[in-house]
Amino acid sequence: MLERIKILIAMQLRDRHRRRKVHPLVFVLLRVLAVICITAGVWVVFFFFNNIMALRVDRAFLLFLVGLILLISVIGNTNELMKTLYLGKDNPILFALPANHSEVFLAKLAVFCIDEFFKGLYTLLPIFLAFGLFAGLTVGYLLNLILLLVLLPALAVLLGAVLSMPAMMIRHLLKRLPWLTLILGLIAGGFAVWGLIALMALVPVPLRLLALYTTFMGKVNVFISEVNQYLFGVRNLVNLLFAGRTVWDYLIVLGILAVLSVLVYFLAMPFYFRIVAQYAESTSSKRHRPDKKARTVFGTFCLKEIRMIFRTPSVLGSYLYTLISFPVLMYVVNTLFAAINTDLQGDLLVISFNVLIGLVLCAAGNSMCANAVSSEGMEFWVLKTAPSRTYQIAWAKILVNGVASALSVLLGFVTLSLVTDLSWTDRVFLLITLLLFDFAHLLWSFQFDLLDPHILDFAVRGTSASNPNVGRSVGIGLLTALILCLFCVFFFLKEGWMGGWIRVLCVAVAFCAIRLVLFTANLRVYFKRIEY
Amino acid sequence: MIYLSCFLFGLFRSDALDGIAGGVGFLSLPELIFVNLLRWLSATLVVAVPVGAFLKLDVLKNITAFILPVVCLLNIIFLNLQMTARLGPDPAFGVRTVMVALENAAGLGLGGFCLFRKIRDRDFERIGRRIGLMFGIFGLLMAANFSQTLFYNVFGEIGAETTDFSLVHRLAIYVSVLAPLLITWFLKDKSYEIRYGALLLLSVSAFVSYFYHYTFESIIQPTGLPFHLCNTAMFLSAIAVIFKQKEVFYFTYMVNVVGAFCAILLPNVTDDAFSLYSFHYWINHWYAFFLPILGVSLKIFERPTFKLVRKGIVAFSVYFGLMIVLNAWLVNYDPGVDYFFLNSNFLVEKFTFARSIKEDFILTFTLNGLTFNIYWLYDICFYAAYILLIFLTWLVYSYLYKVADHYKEVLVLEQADRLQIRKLRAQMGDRPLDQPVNPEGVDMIRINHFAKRYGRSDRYAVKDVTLEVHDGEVFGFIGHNGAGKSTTIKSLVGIQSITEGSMEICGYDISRQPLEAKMQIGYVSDNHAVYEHLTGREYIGYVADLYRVPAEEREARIAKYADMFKLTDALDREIRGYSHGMKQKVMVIAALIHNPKVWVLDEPLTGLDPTSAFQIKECMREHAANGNIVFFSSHVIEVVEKICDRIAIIAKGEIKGVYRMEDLKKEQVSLEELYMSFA
Repeated sequence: MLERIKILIAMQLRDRHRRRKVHPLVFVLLRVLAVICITAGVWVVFFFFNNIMALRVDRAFLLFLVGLILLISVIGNTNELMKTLYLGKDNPILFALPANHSEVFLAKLAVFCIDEFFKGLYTLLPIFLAFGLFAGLTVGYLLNLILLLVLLPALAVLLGAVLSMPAMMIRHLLKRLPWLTLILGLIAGGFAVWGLIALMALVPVPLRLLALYTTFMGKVNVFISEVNQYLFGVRNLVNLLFAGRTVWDYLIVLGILAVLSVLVYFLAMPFYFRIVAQYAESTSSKRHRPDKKARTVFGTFCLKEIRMIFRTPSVLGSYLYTLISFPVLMYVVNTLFAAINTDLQGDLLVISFNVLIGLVLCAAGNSMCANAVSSEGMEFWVLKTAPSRTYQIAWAKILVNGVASALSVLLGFVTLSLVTDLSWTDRVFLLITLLLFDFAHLLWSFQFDLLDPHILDFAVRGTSASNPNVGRSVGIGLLTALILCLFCVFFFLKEGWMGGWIRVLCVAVAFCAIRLVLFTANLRVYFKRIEY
Repeated sequence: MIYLSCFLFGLFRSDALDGIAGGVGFLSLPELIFVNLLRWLSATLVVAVPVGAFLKLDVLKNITAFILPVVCLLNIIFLNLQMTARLGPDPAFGVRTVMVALENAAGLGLGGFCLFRKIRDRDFERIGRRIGLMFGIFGLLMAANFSQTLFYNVFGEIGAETTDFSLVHRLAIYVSVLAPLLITWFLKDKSYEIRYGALLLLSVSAFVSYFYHYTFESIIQPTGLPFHLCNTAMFLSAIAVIFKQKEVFYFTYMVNVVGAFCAILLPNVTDDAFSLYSFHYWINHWYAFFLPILGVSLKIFERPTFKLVRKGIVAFSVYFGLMIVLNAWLVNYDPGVDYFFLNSNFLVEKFTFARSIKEDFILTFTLNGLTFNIYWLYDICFYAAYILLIFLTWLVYSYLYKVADHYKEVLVLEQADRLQIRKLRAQMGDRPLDQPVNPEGVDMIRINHFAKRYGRSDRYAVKDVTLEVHDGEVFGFIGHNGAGKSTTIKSLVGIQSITEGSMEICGYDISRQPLEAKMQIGYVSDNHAVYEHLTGREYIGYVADLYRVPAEEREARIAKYADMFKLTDALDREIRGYSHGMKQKVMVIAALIHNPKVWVLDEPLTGLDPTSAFQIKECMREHAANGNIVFFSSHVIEVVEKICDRIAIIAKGEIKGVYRMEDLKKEQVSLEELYMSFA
């Protein structure tokens, strides 16, 4: 059994991680450099929190942070494990191999764990190293840090595996009863909106940050302490890093790990195949409406994209998430900004931060486009053999994604208008800037996948999780957002209101135009040359 | 040599002219402008003439022959004015006067000799064009050797500083970016000699420009020694280019460029923008920034590999160590010594958090009565930060190279596509492009010496396949797994490209007339991949739209084939609920929805139950019987025997034989045995 599991793990890892083109030494060096840079960045953030924001960066802070990371990881892992374990396109291949379903389950879980471990090297390791540098590194800290880098992802993955089972069952139920999904969605949405408005109503007006700051930070520190009281298990995990760790801490952590492993082994694993089969066996009928006339090629691509979005829950969920999160975040952030008495310079900084937040959200939403070509999967042959200028599918996908993205920006504009003190001109200019940059980023994201499609990977796995273009898209989006925010701050402070806006809009138009030209050139040349 | 030596003698002397601001002084404005112009021309000639002696560039030889004697003659005629500009009013006759006279006499002699040679050799071919080019190049060279006092002499102070991203500061930044771009753009397609000549001229110009504002007295002071990072670029670049020294070049490329870039963004010059010092600062740092970049962009030096970056870092480490020592030592003689900002608080004022790092960690010792202060932690942090900057610069360079290579490839591919269309137009003559390129092939598939290689592999997946399939035929293409059947078919239907040879479908070339060729084809893929979230009907409708099938026709055909394949009830269910056979049938309907002339199927019967297999075979026979072509691949001999009119056997990428089934039956040759004989 162990041998088969090892082979399954090796097979999946080999498939995911191709041979690198760079020298191994260069590869390691670059990765080490990346970790050093991220650690330095995190250290700066901690320095900022502790010395400027008066948020104590101490053991309690670390405990809270680890708890938060664990929570986010569990939610993320549950979602990803649902796709990987139960909805993975490689399931038919793996199940057909001479291995038990439980062996397949364990192998997939192990591969996921290994991936999470490597991701942790760029997230957890810099955080812990930076904290260690801040609070004082000891040998014990470093040694137990190595242990923590293994235990923390393992805990998150095991919890995710346990939770993924009921999550899949709920998902299956909601699929069978779409009216229930709608009702629950409306109720949850209603509660969320009500809660948000109630929370924002607590913000004092005017919001005197400096005056309230100490009180506020004191309350934050108290909040952290109170939350930490409930972080049983996580506390023991964090205790391992510090002097004063006891054998009990090790035992508790290992005990939790053992309990979760038992739950996975006895609960999740036995039901694994049944849940996978249930998903594969279900289908649905559609009402037939005869076509009155043939559509244009572009029209047919758009129709197909829309149908695929609405019939793929994960994709639809991503779009809805973007559509909701943008206006909500704009509402929250600008309520806070509006509560602060600002002068002209302050208003200009508010605009700059709105640009940053807006573009960061757009970057997250546009990552769908970075999977646009790959998501065609093996069905890409239809586009290759069709006697039409099938590169138009690129514009269809961009249109659909662009509409969704623009809609979220527009909704954000509406919520912004409800709460902000910014002038109408500022709001309109902000909207134009965001739309232009959003469109440019959309084109850039698509271009990543056009030049480096992972059609076969998607065909096998059925998810975008392994597509590096998604990471590139988000990365470039964040970088663009940061650079534009800095430009805004610079131009507004140097040139004043109108001068600053003229420059910002010129940069936005120029960036959009350049990306459009480059994208069109790449599309014309490379789309027809995609082979797999 | 006389000409150069005399110029260099004068270079390290201060000139009274330098102090005149806004045309107010011992020279009138017209005299000021004239003498500046003469100095400018002379400095440019001092760069062009020696370089021209070593390079085989006609334009430089013309400059020596035509411009040098004129300028030297003018200098001699206006010698008194020249000496007034150098020495002040009522200049006394002395060594400088002699040197200037000698310099110009030597120049006049040299230029005159070159002119005489041209006349003697009657070297006047296309003289008008050559003279025009000479003036053009000389004008550009003048820009490279811009007069650093002209603006100050004529206009005085402008009242603006080139700091804090003021307008003039930003203009200076734009020049530093635009200059290398423009130079690369204009020279990228020129010969190596021209590119190298341009780089050499710029390097020598940088050298001459750097020493413009130095005097003997200033240069022998510790603060005047050219050890500051960007100052080293002025002579290192010239050495690297003249002697083609890679290690020196990559030091400038990885280290000087970074330093110059930082200096351009955070200049430590507070003098007026028109002052000599300010001009000198900017010209120095522009050269330090873009000379190494030009060295690579003009392909005089190759792009740096990681190995070369390491060498640059080693050289930088040596330089850094040396500067720590020199700073600590020479500050005893001149408190203003501050090579590479290791002594002063220039950087500390910009990054205030570094103040305590500098002031609280000092190693002090005395040696031979001299006090040495070494700011060890500050130096370590500075060194580490600079190394990080070097790596980041290398990453930025690598990224920019990738982008540049990519868009070069885009241009090349676009040109290749346009060339294809031009060739097609030429071949078609007066006929429209949507007509078959080979009108005689309208009822056949013609594959002509087709070969396919994947990526950069040397191995051929398929080699030299030649076939013709005529209408009314069911043609079987059989071979073992990996023989090249799917490769051939995928190239035929346009999924993959063709490496060699050509493929025509009904007279249309699949490479050059892809849309027209694909319109003739209905294709059934080997992997039965269809959009699983669409219903069968939606998928067929999607394909019908791509083939522009009118609505009435498609509904009729869908009904007909759905009935034939017993799929009517399932058509409105999502495909992901279909069995393998049902998916295959949906693909068959989609492939036939536009009633194609050529029906291509890739292993269509794999995994089908007998009923489904029978239905598809019947469909294939019927389609061929209607005067169409059916071309399919299989490795199931029995099926091929039953339905094919002709077959081809492919093994290891090569066609082993093409046979008529009728002939094989007549000769009682078993297809299986025939196939096995090639296995």
